[in-house]
Amino acid sequence: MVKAIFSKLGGVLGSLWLSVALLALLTLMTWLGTRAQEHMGLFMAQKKYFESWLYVERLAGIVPFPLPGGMTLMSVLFVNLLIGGLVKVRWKWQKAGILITHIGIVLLLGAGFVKGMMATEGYLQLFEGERSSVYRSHHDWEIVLEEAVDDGVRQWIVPDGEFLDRYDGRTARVSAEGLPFKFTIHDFLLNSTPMTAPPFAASPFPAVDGAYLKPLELELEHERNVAGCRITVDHGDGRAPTEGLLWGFERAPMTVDAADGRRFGITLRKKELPMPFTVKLDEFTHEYYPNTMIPKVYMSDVTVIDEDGPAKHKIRMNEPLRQDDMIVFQSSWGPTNARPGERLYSGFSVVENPADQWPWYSMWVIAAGMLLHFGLMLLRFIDRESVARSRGADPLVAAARKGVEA
Amino acid sequence: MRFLPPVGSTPLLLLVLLVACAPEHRDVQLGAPGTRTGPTMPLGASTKDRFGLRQRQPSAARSPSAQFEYDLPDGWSEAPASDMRQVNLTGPGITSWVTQLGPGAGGVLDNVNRWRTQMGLAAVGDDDLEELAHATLLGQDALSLDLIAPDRSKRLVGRMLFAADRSVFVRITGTADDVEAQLPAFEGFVGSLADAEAGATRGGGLAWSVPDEWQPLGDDQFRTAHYQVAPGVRIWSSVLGGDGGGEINNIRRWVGQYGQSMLRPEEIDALETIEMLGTSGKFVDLTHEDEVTRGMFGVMCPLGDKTVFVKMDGPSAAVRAHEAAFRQFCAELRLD
Repeated sequence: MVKAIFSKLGGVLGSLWLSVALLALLTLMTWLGTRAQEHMGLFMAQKKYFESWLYVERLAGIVPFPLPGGMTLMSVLFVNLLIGGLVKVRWKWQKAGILITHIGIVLLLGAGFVKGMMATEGYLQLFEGERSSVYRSHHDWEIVLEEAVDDGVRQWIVPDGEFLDRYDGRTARVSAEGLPFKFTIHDFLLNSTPMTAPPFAASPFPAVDGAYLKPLELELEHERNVAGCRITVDHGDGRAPTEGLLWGFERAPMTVDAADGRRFGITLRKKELPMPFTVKLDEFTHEYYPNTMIPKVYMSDVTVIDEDGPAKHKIRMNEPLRQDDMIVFQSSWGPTNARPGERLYSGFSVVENPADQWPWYSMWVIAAGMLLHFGLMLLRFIDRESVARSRGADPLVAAARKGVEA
Repeated sequence: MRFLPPVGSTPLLLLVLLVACAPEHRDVQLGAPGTRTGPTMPLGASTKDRFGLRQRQPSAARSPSAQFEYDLPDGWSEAPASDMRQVNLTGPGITSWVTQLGPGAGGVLDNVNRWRTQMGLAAVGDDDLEELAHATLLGQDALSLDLIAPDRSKRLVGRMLFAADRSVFVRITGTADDVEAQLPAFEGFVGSLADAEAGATRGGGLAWSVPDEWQPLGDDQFRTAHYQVAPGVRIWSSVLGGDGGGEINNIRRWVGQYGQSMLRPEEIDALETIEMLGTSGKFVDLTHEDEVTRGMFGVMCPLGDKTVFVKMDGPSAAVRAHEAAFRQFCAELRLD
């Protein structure tokens, strides 16, 4: 009975009909997602359509209609390929090419899955002579508390998963080992701007020290959103709580003087991500095509320092640095109005993707599989032809004659 | 405070879907701290400094007039100018000021009677205006008045100029004796009074000069010194109270308007500053690398009680072609 159920299920999951249905749904999702980018931006469209398990479209703009998201479709397609293309296929050497090709496609889908689940993206900006072993996320935030101590800086980090939903009266009360106070996060805003509170009138939003955070509509380009929130520090010594505002573009942290005399800084910033090496910008070079402002060359001469020692690299447009699952692309530079001799900075997009090279490998696997499959077909054809000739009948000539007679 | 995700913005989305499940209050327990080396955070900044919001300064610190030139009589001193006193002077027992208004400015009779009322004198009629004395003010014929209160407690001596493009009032007031003592000095002051840099254009508290080929487009509520520099290229200035919304906010707004990548604080700090209005302002170049995409130059110049903005907008290549003119316009812009 159970075997029959699994057999039936396997039949459905490995069927060609399911493959066709999945490809049709993928096409529909791609069309809807591409259209949606226009009004909701790339990031949001990716999240809603391509990186979700389920999304809801509104038919005629009114009736909600759930559809499987990219994660669902790709996962089922993965299983479909695995069962239909590898398990159900008869494993014999004549089918070796098809099997290898399917393995390559499965690897390709696996690369997409691993990238979707594990890859991180961000940016790094260095002035000539500067170095860094961390980069910043484009989209994720974190609240950081720091205290200067004799041997460096002590640091606590609150990831944004703890405060992204702290709005409309919701709060998060944060305490930490070694921290002499607790603080509460309120009024989180994904996009905000600080304003000077009116001196003789009520502020439209909670004001602190003559300033308040004004909520803004979300930007279509998600990385342009600048988050903000209000926090209340409970010193635990009978003093009135200290209120403060945190804003993603703030120039300096909020200062908290704890009851025990220690001094802390609290700031809201884009999430900082470590790299397994340090990048030092030695020189940035840019050239324009003559008499235009069209860039001809952007290039960063960098030194990459890891446990094996320093190594020189050049990062150009379309020629990123690839090392230790990290890809560092040349993406921008500035100041764009710099005068001759002025110190320049170089901007890099940084991607950490454990499956970075998997598409490259899968391409070779697919190519090998197809080469093998078509090679075998050719060999079989040649074999059949030679057999036919040995019998005195040319199959091609026979087929042609048959067509003329018809 | 309310969170405002736009309709359909699903990811938040998923968060929003979870709202029903999300507790009103959450306790977050962090583990032991990590450590890092490198520079420490700069502590002790005020909230406004942290956010780049400048402190609102009282307007009393406004500099003496840049609109008129004059010889300051001995023993007199300059007081801060104001909207109604473009020149504001004090001397022994007296005050003297110059007010420039638009043409007409309430009419001759009403202004004469206003001064008379201030001295406790009865109003006069139209017929009496013909009997008023005349004198020269700013090189033009003006009415001359010498009004003494009935009890001789105060005296007002002044001139009224009603020209086609403006009305100018100059006066000295004080006790009758003090005004009498300072009258020669006042006459010397009035005789020396002249328009500063004749030929400059004024408006919105600013004065400026532009090349002849720039075509005026007319000022409005938000734009002063609004010109067409070249086909498709416009320049204008704006004056906003206080910090005008703050440096970072304005740059963010401009960056969004002109489709450029968002500048981070360190990039904003690295922007070039140019000298203007006796201080410096951040120069923002938001032109694109291609020729036709709309781009701009912008400068914002905080002055304490207000912020002056200058923008040049148009096709990127055309805007870049007028960079020198933009910089010269900013350098020559003055407070009026």
